[in-house]
Amino acid sequence: MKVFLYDGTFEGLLSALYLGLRAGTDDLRIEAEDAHQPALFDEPIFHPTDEALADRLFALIRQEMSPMTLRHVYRLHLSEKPDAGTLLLPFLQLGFRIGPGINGLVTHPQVHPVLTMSRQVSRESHRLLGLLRFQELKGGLLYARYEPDFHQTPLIAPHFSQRMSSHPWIIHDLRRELAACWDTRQWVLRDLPAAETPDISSDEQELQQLWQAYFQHIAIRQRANPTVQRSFMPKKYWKHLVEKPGTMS
Amino acid sequence: MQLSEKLNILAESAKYDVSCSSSGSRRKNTPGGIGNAAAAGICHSWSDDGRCISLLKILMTNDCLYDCAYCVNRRSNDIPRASFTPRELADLTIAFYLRNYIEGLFLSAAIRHSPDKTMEDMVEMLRLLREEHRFNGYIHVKAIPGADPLLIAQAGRLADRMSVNIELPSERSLHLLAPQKKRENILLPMGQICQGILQRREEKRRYRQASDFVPAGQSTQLMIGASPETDRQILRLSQGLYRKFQMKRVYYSAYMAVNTSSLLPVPGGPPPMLREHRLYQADWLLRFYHFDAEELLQDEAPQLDLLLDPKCMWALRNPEIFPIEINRADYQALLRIPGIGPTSARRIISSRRYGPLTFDSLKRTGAVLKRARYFITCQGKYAGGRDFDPRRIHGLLTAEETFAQQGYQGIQLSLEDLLHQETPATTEKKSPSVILSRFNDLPSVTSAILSPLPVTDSPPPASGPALKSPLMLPVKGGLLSHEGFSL
Repeated sequence: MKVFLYDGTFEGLLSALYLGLRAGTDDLRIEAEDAHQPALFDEPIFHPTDEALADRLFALIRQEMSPMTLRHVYRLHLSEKPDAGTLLLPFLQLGFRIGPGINGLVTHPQVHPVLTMSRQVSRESHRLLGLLRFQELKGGLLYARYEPDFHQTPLIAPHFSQRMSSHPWIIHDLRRELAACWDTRQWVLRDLPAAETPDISSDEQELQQLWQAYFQHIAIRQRANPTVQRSFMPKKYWKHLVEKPGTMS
Repeated sequence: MQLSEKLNILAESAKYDVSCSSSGSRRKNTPGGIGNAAAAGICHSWSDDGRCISLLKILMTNDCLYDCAYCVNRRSNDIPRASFTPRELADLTIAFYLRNYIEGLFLSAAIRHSPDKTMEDMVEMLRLLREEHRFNGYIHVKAIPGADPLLIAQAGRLADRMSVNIELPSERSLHLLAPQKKRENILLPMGQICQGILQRREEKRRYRQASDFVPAGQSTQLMIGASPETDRQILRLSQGLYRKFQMKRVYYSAYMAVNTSSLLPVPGGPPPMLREHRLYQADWLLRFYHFDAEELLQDEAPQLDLLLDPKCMWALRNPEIFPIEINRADYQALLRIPGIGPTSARRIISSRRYGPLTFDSLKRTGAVLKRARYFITCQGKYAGGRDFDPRRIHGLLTAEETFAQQGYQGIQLSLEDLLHQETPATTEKKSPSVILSRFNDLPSVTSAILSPLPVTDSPPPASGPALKSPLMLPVKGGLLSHEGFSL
């Protein structure tokens, strides 16, 4: 089977998809170069990113389908799943045939997996808007660390840039060693090693203790319900929370 | 008194308020300001009782003039008392907000000197947050019954949501349990807020610049199980509140007996949480499924069924409209099917434009086929067993629900325990049937699985004999279909 490889960027994915759509075949996989695991009869072909093709497809999806469809494509890219590109190819083929209705075709076998994956990504983003925790560093910078399943930083940074517009902050993805940095005017994504442990401000510890105590006192003992707590707030996120769930004495 | 001590006391006093929603407002951040509101609302944590923490839910003071029989903060209770100054609480809110612990503030207060003085302090607190700290996050504030309408109006201009708690669902109970509160004093601010919201909506239509007034609407809370009102009375009250006062939400709070009183349930008993859950389900049916309270509960059976959800019960009482053909029914009809909600109904409609749905594609809409299959046909085919017989279906759904409520958790626990004990070394995955074969010589576990199934000892559904069709029992994960268990 033919496999189109790209460099792992969103533009790379779009240009590979463009070429895949032009090839007009179903018998094709589209994978990031790093994630590609060659099988016996694979014919991998690397396509360098072509910005012009990427822009073209970007505009076409928005025009022929909808901005919502474009959002699905972007979320699938951020999911970093190895089969994201391969799922998108038949999805977009169908999209060019039926237009904006593609977003509503939830039960179609070529649409359903795309929408499901897109929903997984957006569900985690929404959760993280609530579960991200900032600490105040010496000098007043707000710093948050987290380890999301998907590459969430580009999705959640705009939210915090509006909400905390007059405070500089850093959102640090330890798993990918990337950080979004906001200087009160714009945010940029840059590499940041996970090992660094910054100094916290003098008030920080006391405030964290206040929050921990509040968290304990707001729970009603007779209604203890760890199952529900965990289904909304899975344990994998607890590591970077300030409060200590599951410790009701 | 230390800040931490105050926070603990006043959180403890606030925790019986249920509302914690932060949705419905689109307040934008301003240059140099802090915060904004997300229309969908954001939950920031879940406490150990499984309730979401979205807002900093806190009282300004728990020092109360009133002596309501049900309330933990009543005057005659010997509990520690504390009060925040507006500045202390404003600073704390901002500090928590910047760390992304909370979405905003839910401010309430006990009546310390007079309703007016209490409301004045709260308005001052909000003014401090909005004007000095330029805080644009979400604020939910209680309207104090009996406070001056001018103060309520001021609070409404600063807050995103307001609420007046009714707590006791009838005037008689109110008179008995909270003699210092008057029905008029509760309804008056409610009416005022409702009028204010409607009026501002009209103004906004003409001038987009008009300032906000309680943009996220108002809510209220009813206590369940402290007084003798039936579910029917409660639901009719809620429906009235939704229609007359345009309430965004009515919250239900299973009464936790905190005080000893001859008028109330004894302390120590479990709160009626399942009843609370059923009321919420019924409430959703009123708000999103276009049901009427009269359809859900009749005079002769004024309580919601604890075993089956209100929609299933309604469907079984109205068998003549079922089964419904999924490929032809309109949105309203789809909403009436147990297991199908607004989201799956919309998905069904948008995807059947491109061709008829099968049971297989129906699964992908998110419909809960476990319940829905008894009430639908798909291209004329029925997948709910023999035929559409409400009595049979009632038996099946009841068995399944009992299993879920009592039995299933029991199995899960014993299953894990056993596996840890017996096979510490193996890591291979086991299919349910392999795991189950371990139980064959473990009588205690088998009885734990088998006892809750009410095949023979459940009360006969509606009229007619109890059903005995063990083979038809729907079973989670196929556990009981294994030959090790003969029913």
